[in-house]
Amino acid sequence: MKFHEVKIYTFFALASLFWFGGIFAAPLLEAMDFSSLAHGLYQFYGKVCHQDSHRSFFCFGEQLAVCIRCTALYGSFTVAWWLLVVFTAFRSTGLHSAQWTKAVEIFLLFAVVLMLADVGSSLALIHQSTTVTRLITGALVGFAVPWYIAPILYDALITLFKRKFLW
Amino acid sequence: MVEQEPSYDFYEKPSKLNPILLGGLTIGIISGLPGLSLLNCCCCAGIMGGGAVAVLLYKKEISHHETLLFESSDALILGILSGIVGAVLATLLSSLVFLLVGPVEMEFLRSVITKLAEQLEESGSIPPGALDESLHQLEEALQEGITFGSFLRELAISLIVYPIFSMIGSLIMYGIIGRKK
Repeated sequence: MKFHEVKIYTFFALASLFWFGGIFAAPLLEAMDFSSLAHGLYQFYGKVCHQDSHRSFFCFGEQLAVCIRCTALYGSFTVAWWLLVVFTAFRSTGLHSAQWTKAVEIFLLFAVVLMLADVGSSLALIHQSTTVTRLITGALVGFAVPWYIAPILYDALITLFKRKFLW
Repeated sequence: MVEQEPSYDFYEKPSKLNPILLGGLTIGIISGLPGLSLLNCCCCAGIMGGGAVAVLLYKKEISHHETLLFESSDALILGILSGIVGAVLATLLSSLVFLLVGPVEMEFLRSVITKLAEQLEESGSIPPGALDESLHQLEEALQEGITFGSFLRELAISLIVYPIFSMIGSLIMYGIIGRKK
């Protein structure tokens, strides 16, 4: 069972790494004059981010495929999945306990509220969000989500595998 | 009194069709309509919301049957399928809006960024011309029309992105309401 859990989390960790890598691949391809490929990647990530250049990091002289907040979010999301792999490999239980779930739930709520406060206050021109606030709030949300959904996702996939994906 | 065991036979479960369609419709409307689709700039909140709506509706439906369990696999399926339905609806709706009234959202965004840039430049928060690049990108987007190829490309991207975020939304909602007995 633990072996399956590690395998499932590794799959999602690799998928997250692939997604995060794409954010840097877009400017790299643009810098290497593979403009059509880069344009395709920018368009892909444009579905999930406003891509405002004023709120984005630049790499290889080109804008990253997503904004600062999203870069932090997907970066910490990827780190969290890899930590989940390590955590699950070395500890047999814990992620599915009620106490742990409650703690993660509170952490996720805190992170979401903090990000909404940063975005909301910036939109209302109360406080202008900065690179640091965008990085911190994005990273907190991105880090919290995998810890919250991983046990649920694992249970769901195991149930579906047992039923041969019938619904 | 003999306590009845919860049933695990998923064939007895109510149909997921309505929650999936309504969740997909939520995603389609939020992501396909100009203005509303800006909600997706906040971590794809609109798409995750659609997945969450599907879970909420199914939970409501399944709660009428005391012997049935709402499982995490139900939430997973609801999220992914709502995302697929939402991707198709959103692409159709946004293309339709584009054909009927033009790039309203881009125009709206351009006016917002221009006003914001003026305010921030006046207050000294940003140097003059700092948002020129963003405006230039929007100008380029405004000049691009809609073709069958661009429609298919939009649909293909949506069919990848939407189910992922809708699934995350549905799993979070399941975590909040589903596993609590």
